[in-house]
Amino acid sequence: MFESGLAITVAGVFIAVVLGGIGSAVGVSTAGQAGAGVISEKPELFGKVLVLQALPGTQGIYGFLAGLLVLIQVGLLGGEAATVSVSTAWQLFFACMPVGFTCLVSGIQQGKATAAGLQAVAKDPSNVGKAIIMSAMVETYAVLGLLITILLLFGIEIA
Amino acid sequence: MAVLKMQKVQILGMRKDLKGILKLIQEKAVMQVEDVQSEVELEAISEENHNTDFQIAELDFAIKFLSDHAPTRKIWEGRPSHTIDAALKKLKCFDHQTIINACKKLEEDIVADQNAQNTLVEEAALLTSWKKLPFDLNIPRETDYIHILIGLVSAGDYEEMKKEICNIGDLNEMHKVNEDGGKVYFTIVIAKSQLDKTKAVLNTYKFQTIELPYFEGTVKDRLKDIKEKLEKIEEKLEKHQKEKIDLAKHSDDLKVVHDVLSWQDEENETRAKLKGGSYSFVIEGWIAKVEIEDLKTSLHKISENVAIENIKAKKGEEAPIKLRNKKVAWPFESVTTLYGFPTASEVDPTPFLASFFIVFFALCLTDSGYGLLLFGSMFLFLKFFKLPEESKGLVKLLMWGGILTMIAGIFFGGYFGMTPEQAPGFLVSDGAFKFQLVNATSGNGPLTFLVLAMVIGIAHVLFGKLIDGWWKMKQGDYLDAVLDSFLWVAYILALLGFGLSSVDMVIPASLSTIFMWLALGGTAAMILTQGRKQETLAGKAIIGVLSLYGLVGYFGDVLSYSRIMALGLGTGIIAFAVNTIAGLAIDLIPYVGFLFAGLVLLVGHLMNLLLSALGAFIHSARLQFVEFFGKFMEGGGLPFKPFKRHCKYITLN
Repeated sequence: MFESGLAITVAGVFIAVVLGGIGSAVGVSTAGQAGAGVISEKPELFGKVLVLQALPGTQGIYGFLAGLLVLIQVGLLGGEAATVSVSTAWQLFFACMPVGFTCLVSGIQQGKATAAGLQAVAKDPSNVGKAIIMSAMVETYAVLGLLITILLLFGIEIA
Repeated sequence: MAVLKMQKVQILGMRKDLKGILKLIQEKAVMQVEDVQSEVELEAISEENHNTDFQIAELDFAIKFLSDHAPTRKIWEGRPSHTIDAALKKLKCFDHQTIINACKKLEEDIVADQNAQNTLVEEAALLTSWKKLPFDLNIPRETDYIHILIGLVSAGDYEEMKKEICNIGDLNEMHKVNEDGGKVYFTIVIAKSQLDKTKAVLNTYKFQTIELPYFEGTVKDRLKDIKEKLEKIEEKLEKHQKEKIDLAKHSDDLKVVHDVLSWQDEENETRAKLKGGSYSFVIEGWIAKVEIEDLKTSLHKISENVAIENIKAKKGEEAPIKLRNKKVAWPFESVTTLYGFPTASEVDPTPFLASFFIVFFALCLTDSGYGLLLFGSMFLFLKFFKLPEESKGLVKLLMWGGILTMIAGIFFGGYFGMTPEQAPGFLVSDGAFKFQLVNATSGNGPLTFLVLAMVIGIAHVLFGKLIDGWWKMKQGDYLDAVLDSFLWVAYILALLGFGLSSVDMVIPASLSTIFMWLALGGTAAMILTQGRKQETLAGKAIIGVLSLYGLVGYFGDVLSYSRIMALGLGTGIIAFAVNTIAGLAIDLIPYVGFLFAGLVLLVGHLMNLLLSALGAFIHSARLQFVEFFGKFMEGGGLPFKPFKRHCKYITLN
């Protein structure tokens, strides 16, 4: 597979989408478990809890976005697939790393921060804004990873 | 447009006027009443109606109990609105206690019937397996000579066990009643002389004893009896349901009474804070200075014998914070309060964050289509939904955010993520969008966007520092203002100028020497001044040098604004992806492809708008709280909580 440019490119897409997806899946699940505890006591808070639970879901979207951008750049999406040289393909592959790894870790950790925030919401629903912001602090690093990936992907010349 | 100046006041008056005065203060909602702590021991003023707490709890129960059948209101109608007089009248002429008692009784009946129903259903389930039981259910399980056991073992073991038990003695008799789910249901009559031996055998085969209920008649008789009883309970439950629906007609009235009683409860809580003698009373509390005169006039209309005077706050007592902003900045108070309140000695950040917040929000979306959708939906929301006053701020903010997003989208060529080829003709000229300044997805576009984000970031951070300086000047701390705020701003600008001019960007290279000296001078000034509050000379020097490390903080702050670009691009790319997938649906699915494409477009764009707008709001707010507020305020002020009429179920007009 190391001779096929396209295969390496797809491996990059895999890194971005799957790592981001895992990060979000774990994060949303952690937040969801805490959220279920909150609504078992106060079902009227469902709306607020749902917003909080959705927060660690962004990493999956960032990974998906990066993967999609690669597909668009090499024309795998509905257009004529460009022939990608092996060296370009490795560039694309490594360009996917920042978003993949930052999303993996920040997704999981944001889930934990959100779960803790949900306890604050359970005590006093007016804490929801603060809990959201505290959870979003963790997301910063996924955004930065995405930023570098996007810049790299736009920067890489595809023949 | 700022943090209002608060004044602690004391109201003195006659006992006979107390009721009217409390009513007035509660209606005006301008005063936060505090415990009166006078040196002279005065008696506490007793509450009028002691059990409002209990009644409110009961009303809450009744309202919740009836909520399934309460008359539904259309979602845009909001809460029912009443005038104060109408609401107060409702308390007098509507007999809520009768309704509450009826609800309590009904709930008890329903629970009792449901329990009976469950017990019977369980019994029926048990008995169904024993339909062929050869004797009546009232037969004694034990006589002088024999024991009767009823139970089950696994089907595979039954024959073997039966053989073993017959071997013990022929006085034992087994009868198979049923076989179901891999188990044999049987009865066994055991002679008492052989009881222990037989039980031992039964145990080795894991015999499971079943206790059947007592009844005069066979199992079939009992099942018939249960069926009849269940039907009766069913009828009763239906009747209860009708009663509940009837009671639910009153639920709107109950809600009014609930809120009126909760006002009384608030009044009681406030009364508990007052002090007085037999003929007079004292109220203490915080009020905004600008509202004192108005309150004074209103008080004098009630009685001549009332005085309101300024008093000193206790030591360590902080004034509560009340923000007041002009119409334009007002919606942004919802962002400020999300963070918390500034303290009484700090500046209200609301008017300063407003313009930055809305620009960040728009740049995080940068799509005219989404902007239009957001503006339109919020506009309709505001126009046709009856929203409580406190939620209107957020809606207005999002509406204006929509307008700015439209403008940003025009500059960045964002129209639902369409490429110029996909877009309708009137938007495009020469293969590009009209009025497009930056194409964020090709060539230098991403970098331009990034630089723009950073530049706005620098402006935002320096603006924060300037506010800090301005506020310190206003407080009279001129030295601190110059050295801690303005010096930093000048120093950072000099460094920026030096950096830009030395690579000949924006600023011509010829100026680089000047900026170099400015930067060096700035560094020297920083080292010399920043440690001035230390006592020893070494301390001054060390802190002075270390202060340069603060630059790293500013660098980090500015980099943080890059998120604007990442989020802005993200919105557009996902929108583009939605369009592409919809296009694929048309290509790949014959005949009905456009239906799927329509669905993909609708759901995809709505989801993207929802998530992106949420992200844009959160991250714009974070940039205010962490990067901006940190420059000039700490926050932690206590919110002003006036004595007023809180409503849970109704609104007042």
